[in-house]
Amino acid sequence: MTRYAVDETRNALIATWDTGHGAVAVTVADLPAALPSRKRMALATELSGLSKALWRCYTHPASAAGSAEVNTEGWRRQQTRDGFAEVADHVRRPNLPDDNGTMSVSYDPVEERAHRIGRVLHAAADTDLSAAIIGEVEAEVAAVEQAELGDLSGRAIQCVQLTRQDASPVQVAVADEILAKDPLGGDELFLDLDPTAACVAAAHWLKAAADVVSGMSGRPARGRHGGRQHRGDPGDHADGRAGTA
Amino acid sequence: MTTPTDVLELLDDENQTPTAVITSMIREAMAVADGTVPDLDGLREKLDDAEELADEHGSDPASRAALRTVRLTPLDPQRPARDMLEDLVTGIRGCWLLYREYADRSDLDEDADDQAYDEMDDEIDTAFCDDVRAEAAAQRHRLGLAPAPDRTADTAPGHTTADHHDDDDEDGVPYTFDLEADDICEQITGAVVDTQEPDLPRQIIEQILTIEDDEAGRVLAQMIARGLGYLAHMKESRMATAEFDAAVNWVGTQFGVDYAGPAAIMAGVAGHRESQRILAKQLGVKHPTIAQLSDFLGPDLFPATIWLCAGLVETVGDGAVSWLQQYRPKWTA
Repeated sequence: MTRYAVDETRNALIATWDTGHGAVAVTVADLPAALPSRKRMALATELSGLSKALWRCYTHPASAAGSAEVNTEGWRRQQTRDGFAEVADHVRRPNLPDDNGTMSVSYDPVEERAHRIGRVLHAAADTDLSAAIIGEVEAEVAAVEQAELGDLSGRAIQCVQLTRQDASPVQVAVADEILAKDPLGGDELFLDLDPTAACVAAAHWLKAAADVVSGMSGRPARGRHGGRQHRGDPGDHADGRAGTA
Repeated sequence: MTTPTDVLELLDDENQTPTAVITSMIREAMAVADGTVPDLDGLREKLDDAEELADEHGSDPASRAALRTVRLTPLDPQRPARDMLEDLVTGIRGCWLLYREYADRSDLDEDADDQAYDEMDDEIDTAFCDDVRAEAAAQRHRLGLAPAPDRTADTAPGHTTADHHDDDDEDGVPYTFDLEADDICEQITGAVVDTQEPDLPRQIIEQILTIEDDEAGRVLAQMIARGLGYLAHMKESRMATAEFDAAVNWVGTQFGVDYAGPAAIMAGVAGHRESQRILAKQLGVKHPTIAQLSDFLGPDLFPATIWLCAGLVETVGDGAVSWLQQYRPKWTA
């Protein structure tokens, strides 16, 4: 997930996310001098909260919940996911208290976080800030959608540090290709891929490796309790195919 | 780190796809991270095992406390997927190290220099990668990335029939085995029972290994897997301890203690508790992997399976090899 923070030296809002190795940060918006500290912190908190709720849709997809019947976990996840298109609109036009002081609050974590960001922006009443934050929210939603499709470019790379309940076939295929190039597993497995999908491919390759070794160890001429092969110890021959292959 | 073993067991025993095995283990760890216990039956079993171990080996309060420690998931619940990926890659490297150990360096003579050894190591590494690539490619359909092979179409290159003639054994009975037949283990067990010649499975394996064919390794692995399939079925059906005892005793009196020992180890795989305990002491694990077993038994992994089966046929099955058929593993394409 993306975390948002107030950069106090530069009076700016920054966003930061993990990659396969280390974290990066970008500047989201300059903060207007008139915006009080508590509002700045609230903005950062609500944006981080939205990101957490968005990425939970990635790590906990409806497809992994079993049933999609009404009022089940799968159904709730799907409802939340279906609301992605309206997230930026909620930030633009949040639920506000009416004349009687009552306000609708959504049970949907993504939708409610979007409304909260919108209310902070409404109070700040700064057009530039609102435009920058709406752009940021759209970028974050797009990153989650992109990761779901197995494309981990840009800020979607942060999902290499997340654990997903499901494996994208695209990512499994990429991991399989990496392992075909180097069956011992290259760094790319850890740097560029969704780890659950990489695990699926790695399990397949582990089984292949175990089968190769178990087939080989059935060969004769190896001591029953297995003598270790040492350099300069040619008395202990193992009859394996490898040496001549 | 038990993850690679757990994954291989699930892939082998339950015949699940890698996606099903991995996502279910990861979902369990995620449930633990959320503070719930995903598998109550599994937890109960772990608690019982821990109590049993503590009663047996916990001689002082400290070791008792250590033995009574139970992990809710083998993975790090904070970062299950990456933790698992690290374990699996370590597992692949473990296979590579084993492969290097088994590899044949007999081409090198005693005074070969370091460079010759380095070149040989490189060749072995390349051979490992090539073998694993071939194996992974053959099973690629299990990843859902390639269509499942048509069983009827691959009979031509995959069908290896080895004629077994005992050239150097005058008393040998000529047998012909279709090594890829579903009932190959029953055929060989039957032959051992008929001839009372325990070295028959050893000779068959030697015979296979003389075939200069890339298929040999695959055929052998398949035979070993088929043999272990019978034992897995016996374990599931919870065969009685007395039956295993009788079978191993028969192997001991008929063939000698050198054959009974390996047969007893295979009885442990088939669920014989006493043998499991011995196995646990010798190998340090309760549920050994195929790699650990073959490390321990060497080339006798498959013969030991046959010896046990022969003993069971003779004692429990009244000498009729057809008794074994009920445990024949079912193979799904």
